Amino acid sequence: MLENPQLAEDEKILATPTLIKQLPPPLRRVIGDLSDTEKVLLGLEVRPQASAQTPPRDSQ
Amino acid sequence: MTTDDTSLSPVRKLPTGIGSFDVIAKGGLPVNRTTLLSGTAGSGKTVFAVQFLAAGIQQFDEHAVFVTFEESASDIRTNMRSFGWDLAQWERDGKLAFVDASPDPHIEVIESGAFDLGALLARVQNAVKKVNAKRVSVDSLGAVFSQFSDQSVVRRELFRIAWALKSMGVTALLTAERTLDYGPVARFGIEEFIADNVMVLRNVLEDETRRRTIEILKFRGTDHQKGEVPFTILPGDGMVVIPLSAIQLKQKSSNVRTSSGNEELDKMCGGGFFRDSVILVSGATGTGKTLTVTQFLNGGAAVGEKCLLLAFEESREQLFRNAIGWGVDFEKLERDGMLRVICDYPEVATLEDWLLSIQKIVEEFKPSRVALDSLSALERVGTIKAFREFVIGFTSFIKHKEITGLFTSTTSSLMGGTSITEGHISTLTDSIILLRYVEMFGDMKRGITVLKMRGSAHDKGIREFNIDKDGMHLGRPFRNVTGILSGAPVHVSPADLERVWSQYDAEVSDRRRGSRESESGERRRGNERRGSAQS
Repeated sequence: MLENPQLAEDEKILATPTLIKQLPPPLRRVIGDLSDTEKVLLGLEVRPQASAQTPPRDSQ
Repeated sequence: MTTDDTSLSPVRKLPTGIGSFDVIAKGGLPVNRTTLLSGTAGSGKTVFAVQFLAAGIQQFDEHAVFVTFEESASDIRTNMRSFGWDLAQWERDGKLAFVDASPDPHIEVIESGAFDLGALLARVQNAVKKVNAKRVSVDSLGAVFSQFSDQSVVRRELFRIAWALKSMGVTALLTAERTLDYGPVARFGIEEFIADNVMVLRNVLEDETRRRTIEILKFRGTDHQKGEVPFTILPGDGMVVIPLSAIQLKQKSSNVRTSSGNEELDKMCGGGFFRDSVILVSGATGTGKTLTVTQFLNGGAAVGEKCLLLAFEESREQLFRNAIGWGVDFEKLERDGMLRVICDYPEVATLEDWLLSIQKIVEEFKPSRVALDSLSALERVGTIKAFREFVIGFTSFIKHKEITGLFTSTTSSLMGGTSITEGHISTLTDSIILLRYVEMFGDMKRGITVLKMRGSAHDKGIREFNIDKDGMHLGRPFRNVTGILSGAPVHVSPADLERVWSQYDAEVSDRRRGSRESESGERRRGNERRGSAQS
């Protein structure tokens, strides 16, 4: 990002680090060091079917 | 203090080029520092932020970067077209760069763990480098907080960006929201970390009218004007500050007399009005204020002086018809270029806008005489404070231009009394002429008196006057009436009058026994006493 700021400009990225999921839609961005794995998985919709049925944790 | 002494101070200032803002900022914004501009919704933050850059590009060829967290770049490009700022063109010319950090509703953002705004900082630095920017505006900081849930991170990162801006050698303007016009400087405690310079914009609702003001709260290490200063936002010009406190009482004063358009009134004033004086004509409705104005303009045009009439009470047709009734042809005067008549409802604009548009007309038309009929009509447009500022601004402006000004004001009661208008402006005017109704034996007569004539002797009597097809004709003084100005005229019978005078005469003759003064001298003194007993 620091080496190629124009890339950040084109992608309208503010935060570092940012993970962008382009496919499949919808477009999602995950910012942060991904330490909260639960939220990352939830955000990227890659959680296994079984755990998706458990009630989601309070996000804050 | 003047702007000259910025050379003595270690903080240099960058002239912004925003209409008259540099006057209250005593030179401009501190160079190479960040200034926080805080204001409620609709107070004009974005306009100021864009104008700061636009003025830099247009007037000083200083390139700029606009960082937006709120409106999208394309919205701003569109919105600012109405001010005549073609942002897209400047972008193509490499004079302006946007850093569009406005939220995109199509992208869902998930926060997971620690992050910083390093990418944003890199983008800002990149943009500054790309166009070689001297000015940076960031609009607005509050919107960054709403994009992220962890406020302490945002705070830390904004602080980092503010520091980085300093090291980039740019002068930056950061805007921030506040919820109340009179309350904490900004939400999220932003001023605590970007507090070199703080300015506040206000848009206060008072008596159903909006009043915009700008206040410079602090400029660290350098001087500025204190207090709220009114401003207005005009299409085509953007923000224009009206720095009343910057007006100095150092107008030139001339001894040249100019005619009121009425020979007899000139005599009452001791030879006419002074050229750069402001005259207030006060009277109830129908006492002849508009006639006085008409004569004043006609008298000016007769000696080749250009005249401007600002009429807020009557329509153009009415004014022209009335003038013809008094033997004055406004239409011809206007055709000859000697007169310009501006007729409008005062309600169409705020007092700040009126002041600016009148100044514009005066600059362009360059009249020697300005008449305003009436101040009372303008008074109802704004608050008392705004009205006062209007009158101060206007009088000092026309005095500066050595223009003779004639204002009228309408008194609320028919017979006497003063209007609120007079209370506010009587000290600002050089001369006051009162027109009053005098009830005498079932007749309404009109009286005129010169109450004040700064720097000149004048007739102190209250004279009767008539209005006919040739205008105003002054008659004899009301000798046997007292209490005209208090609104309760009392007739004094000739016998009573004789008795009062004879008492004075008796006093005079008592004293005469001990003196050797000539008889004519005594009589003169006796006459003066009579005169003072009248008023």
